[in-house]
Amino acid sequence: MNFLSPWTRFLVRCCAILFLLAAAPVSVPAATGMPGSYVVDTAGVIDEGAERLLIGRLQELEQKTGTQMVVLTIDSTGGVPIEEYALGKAEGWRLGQKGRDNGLLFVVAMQDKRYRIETGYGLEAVLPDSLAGSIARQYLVPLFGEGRFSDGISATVLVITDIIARSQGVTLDQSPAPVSVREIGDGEIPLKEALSIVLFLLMFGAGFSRLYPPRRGRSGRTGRYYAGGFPMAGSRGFGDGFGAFGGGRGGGFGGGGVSGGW
Amino acid sequence: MNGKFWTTLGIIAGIILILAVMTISQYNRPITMREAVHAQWAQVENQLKRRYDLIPNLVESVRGYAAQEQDIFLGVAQARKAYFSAEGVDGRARAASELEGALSRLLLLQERYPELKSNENFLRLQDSLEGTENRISVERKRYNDQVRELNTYVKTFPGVLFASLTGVGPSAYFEVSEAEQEAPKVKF
Repeated sequence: MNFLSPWTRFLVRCCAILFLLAAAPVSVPAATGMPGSYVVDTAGVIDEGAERLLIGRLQELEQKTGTQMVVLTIDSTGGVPIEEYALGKAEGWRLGQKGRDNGLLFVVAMQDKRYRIETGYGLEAVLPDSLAGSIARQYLVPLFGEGRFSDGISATVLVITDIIARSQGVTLDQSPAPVSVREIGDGEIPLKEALSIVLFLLMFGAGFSRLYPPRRGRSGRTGRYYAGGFPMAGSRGFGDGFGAFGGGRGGGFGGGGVSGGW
Repeated sequence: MNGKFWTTLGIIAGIILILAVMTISQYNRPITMREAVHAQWAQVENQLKRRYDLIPNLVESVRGYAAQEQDIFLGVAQARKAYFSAEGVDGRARAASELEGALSRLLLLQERYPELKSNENFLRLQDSLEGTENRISVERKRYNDQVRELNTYVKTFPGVLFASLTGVGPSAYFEVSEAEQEAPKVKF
């Protein structure tokens, strides 16, 4: 039965080892996690209604434009510059579609009093740093100054998502009255207008969530997140939550974006 | 007996084939790595160029408020010119960090001229510049990582063999001068 001599068997083994060595990939891609949701409110500053609204909005944004935007609140980066922290997170989560590099991460570090909007390569033209900075100065900073963190985050996200959607010629459902972004440079967008938009959307979201009671219970949630907000008019339909992050993740980031304090 | 002979022969041929494939792929490796370093250097230069292009507008917007600070404007202009004529990784790196120093002195003017802080145009240019500085440091880090990978490879076995075969040598790091690392950063 044993038709191979020990010598031949040795050779076979060498062969196998060599083959494995040759076939072994040069570098193993780093293991990646995934954010639990479009909104990761670790610091717990976003109101429930606003959170649902934002999740619905960001989900719709992805369905219509492919842009993968995530909002992250944390207590502190632990001494790491927020630029470095945000880049690491955005790359670790592999936000954005491969090739289109349309990922975007919005980080707020509460104790550090720092925020960062990290734009993927593919969004740098749509949302240049100067524009992102203007938005933060006009919406985030004043509202945060009043301690209205949830509103500040919502307003910032609504304006940014609006800009991205417009750049691709789509409108997001429940889109607020047009906010002309190009005007930011000269005339300021009235804060009041932005606030009324936020309020309107919050009310809308709250109304809807009563019609469609969200499946809550964070502890029992597994993987998928069911957006409690709006039924999507889009392709994949209601309930197709965060797991839908499709289209090949792994967009590139090059440190673009803006950061600041309040 | 005969079957055993052929089996052995086949296995030896297989080993030779695999060795040949490995050699070829290894032979190409230092070249691929050097190309990756070059490509990454191009990314760094892109961002440095971006900063270079931003400067005139930034200087103009500051000049409106602080026209008398001629030294600082002159320093920026000179550093910018020096960057343009610098060559090689080392030269560019040195010129780039001098330019960075000159620019941070320019931005510090907002401490003395607080009106600058309420000028939206200046703030936007500053955002662009800061964004560019951050991109530069990201691309610089990636470049240095690539260089480290290449340099480690060409200095250790078996890479050193293939490197000398292909004539690929170590590349230069994009060093940040110590003075610059210690220089107080403008925080906004």
